Amino acid sequence: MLALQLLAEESVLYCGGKRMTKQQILDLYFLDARHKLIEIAAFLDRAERATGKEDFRLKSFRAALAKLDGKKKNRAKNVLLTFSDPTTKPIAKAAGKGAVGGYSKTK
Amino acid sequence: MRYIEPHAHMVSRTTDDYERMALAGCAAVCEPAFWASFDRSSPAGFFDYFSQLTEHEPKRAAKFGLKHFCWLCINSKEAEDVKLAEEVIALIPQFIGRKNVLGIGEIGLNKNSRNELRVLEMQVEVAAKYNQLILVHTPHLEDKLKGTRLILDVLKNDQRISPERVIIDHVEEHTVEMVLDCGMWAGMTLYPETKCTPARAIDILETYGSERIWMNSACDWGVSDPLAVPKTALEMKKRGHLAKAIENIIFSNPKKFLRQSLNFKL
Repeated sequence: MLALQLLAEESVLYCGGKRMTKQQILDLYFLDARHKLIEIAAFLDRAERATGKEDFRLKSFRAALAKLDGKKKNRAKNVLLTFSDPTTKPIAKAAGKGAVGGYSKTK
Repeated sequence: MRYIEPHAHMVSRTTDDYERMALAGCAAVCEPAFWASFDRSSPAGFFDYFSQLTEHEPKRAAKFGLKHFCWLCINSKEAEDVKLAEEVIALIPQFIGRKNVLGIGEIGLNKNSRNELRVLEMQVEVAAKYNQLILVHTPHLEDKLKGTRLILDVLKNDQRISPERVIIDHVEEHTVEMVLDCGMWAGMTLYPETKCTPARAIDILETYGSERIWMNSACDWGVSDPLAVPKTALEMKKRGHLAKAIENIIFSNPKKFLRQSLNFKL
């Protein structure tokens, strides 16, 4: 049993068996994440300046942004769930082949 | 480093890509049947495609010392035409005996329609009848959650299907857990814009462990990178993962799943 546990642990060993520190994660990913955050801010500004009506995609985008707030965990999973079709029954017929990235009936 | 590319659509890639993959340490490439970015007009188009996958593409790969394997099916994007699908599925048994065929795939759903579901069930039937491995494509973006649930229901309800002989591909943070909980394998696809980035794929490994998970580039005719797997291995190294753990994910895991097919020999 102990051997099995050791094997399982070995399969996900990193940093000599320890998780990276917050400092190491920041060193590796902070600038990249900062860059992406500014891109999101600029995208929202751009969409706001544009003329015409927005559609459900922007609504679902704002709903997803709310999942980043505070000390909530599993942010990536919750953002993906916000963009997802929550229904469970197959549709009658596929009208096309593509996906747009947001659920059209986001509340 | 050596690795296996378990999901790549090489018919859409250049010979230079084969060379780059071989230089990066690729030992074998596995090619599921998929949508060509346009609908084929007849079963004859699929006959030619299956011939390409089983006869011609292995020769192209062999020029660079790469083993080439494939999966056969009609993909979900062409499944709305059930009559066409029936005729294409009827072609598959004559190709199953070919020496580089690993199983049925990538079957699955695209827009989660009734006809797609019906065609999925028909192809699961072929896999069960001929005792083939199954590789499943899960839908894109907003359709992935629902589609993954529907697919898992089909597979779990068929007592002939062993979960350890099924890989559910293109998992992300919101679908990986339900796949692993079913005892099936999970594939993470590394794409520049959709699906998983290398950093997120490694997050998933660190969160859910590395058992029954593989990574693939799923490189095709769209925005994709045939070197995504070795690049993610490099990212794992940057994050301090040990060489043994990296090889486990990019070589040993896909080998463990794929060798359940007697045709998979390295």
